[in-house]
Amino acid sequence: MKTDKNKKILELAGLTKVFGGLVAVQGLDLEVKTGEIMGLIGPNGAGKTTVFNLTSGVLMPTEGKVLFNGEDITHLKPDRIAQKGLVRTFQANTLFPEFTVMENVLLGCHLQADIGFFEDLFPLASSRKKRDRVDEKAMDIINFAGMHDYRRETAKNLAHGYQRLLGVAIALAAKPRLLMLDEPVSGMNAEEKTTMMELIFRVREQGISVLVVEHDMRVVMGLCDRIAVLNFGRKIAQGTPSEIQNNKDVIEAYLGVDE
Amino acid sequence: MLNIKNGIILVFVIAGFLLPISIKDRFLLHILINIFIWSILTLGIRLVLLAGPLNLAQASFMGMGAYTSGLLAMRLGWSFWLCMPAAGLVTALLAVGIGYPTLRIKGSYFVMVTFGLTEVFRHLWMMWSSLFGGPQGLLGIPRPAPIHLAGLTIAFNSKVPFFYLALILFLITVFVMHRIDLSRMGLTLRAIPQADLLAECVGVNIMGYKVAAFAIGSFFAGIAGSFWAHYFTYCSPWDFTFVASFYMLMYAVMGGMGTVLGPIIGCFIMLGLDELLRPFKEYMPIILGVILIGILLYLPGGIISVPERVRMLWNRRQS
Repeated sequence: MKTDKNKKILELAGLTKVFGGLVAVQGLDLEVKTGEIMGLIGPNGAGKTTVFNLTSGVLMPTEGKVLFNGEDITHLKPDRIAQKGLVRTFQANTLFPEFTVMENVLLGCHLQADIGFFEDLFPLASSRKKRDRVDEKAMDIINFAGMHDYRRETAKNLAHGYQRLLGVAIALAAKPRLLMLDEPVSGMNAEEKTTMMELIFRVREQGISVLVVEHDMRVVMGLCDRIAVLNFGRKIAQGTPSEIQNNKDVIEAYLGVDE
Repeated sequence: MLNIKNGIILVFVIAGFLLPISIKDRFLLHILINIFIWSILTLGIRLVLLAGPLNLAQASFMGMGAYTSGLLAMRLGWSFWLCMPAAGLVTALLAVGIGYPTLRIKGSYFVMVTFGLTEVFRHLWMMWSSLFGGPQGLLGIPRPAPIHLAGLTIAFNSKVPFFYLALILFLITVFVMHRIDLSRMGLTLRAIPQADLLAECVGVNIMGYKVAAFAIGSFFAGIAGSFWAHYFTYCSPWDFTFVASFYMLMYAVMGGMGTVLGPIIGCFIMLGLDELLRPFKEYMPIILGVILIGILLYLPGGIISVPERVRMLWNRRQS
């Protein structure tokens, strides 16, 4: 991958969100460089998920800007933002529970399926070929996520770890340039955590930048190139994992209490 | 190409086309026409319901189709064969106009909006009597013009040509709805009620899909309404109340929502039962209610899931 390491794929400038009287995020500046895995940590209620919602268009910021590849996407709706290549996962096991694994990923391929309405409706040879191509793409992603054996399983019947993997697979199917993962290893056992970390590394190898919110310190430290720390909606520190581990403010606000 | 399933469908279609030859009873033909039209309407409600919203204004859209078609024929002298597609298109456009602001509303609130819509439409038809003819509606809507086909003249002066027209409209609707089910649009519609935010975050324009489904369902309601108007040669505000929409919903749920076949079976069995139990007409709502409750309790998949249920119970007894 010939990615310019210093190019910013995502830039949050003075991002602020106020819910009634509560300031959830205050004047947040954050950038994710192309090709890096960036971590966002902080105690519960620090505003991490709000940052995700603001960036992906689920919530509108009170103030500030979201720039994706230098383009202002602050006021775009989630589906338009996804089309630009910024795709997120959700904290809970947010899936299409009644669908099979294959159907889940096929839905993720929604944007890539360049099939018109009437083409979609009538079974002509050309549209069938296009459908086959989308099916192939979905299969590739299922294999990439290591879920080949479960492709016909209904999503709600999968084990927790596989449901989380499927969440990532759905997001990957939307062909992101920046993947935002909201607590990807929560509730997982050690083995499942390793699988998820390996998957995230392989995602990065594909040239996809990653922004990850996570509570598990071992995973964050092992995964991320850089980490930003939020507390009460403000960024209190930013740096490499070792810098963060030795930062006084962080230890006070977060690690000191938690570990 | 011709597997068992397609074979069965083919047999049914051919049987449908041959029916008027063996059935001389005009009333029976009328019942079948009725069932075909209700099936079209019910399939329209089901399509929108796949994506979540329950549209209790389906009968009103049918009414709009009926009035549009009737007025175009009576006032402008258009041929029925132009009026019918025009009625479908007008109804679909109306659905787009109404759908954009209202489909944002979720759950029971949307149901209430559509319920309100039926009353708005009904009052519009009643009050604007210079155009819609007030409470007695439109009288004297012309029958479809005769078709001349290869030296053959088909005149719409008996039940048989209407039967064939209704059958063809029904088959077209079933085909389109079934194709939608199998298509990516069907997959996307069914995904929306499961996790709408996730769908949006992988790039699905949810409003676009809901409005499209609403427009397609209403298009077919408009077509059905047009047929209705020219078949009975009149229509009035009292033909298109929310009660009719509620029956459509009931048939869809009773038959089974999972496939296109379910609502059709629901319409055939329930409307058939309605005729069979005609001597007990006044008790019919009670009987239907009891059947509905029974199905909701013991057959959540609808009548169409009976074979599967029987197999399941049978296997349990065997083991």
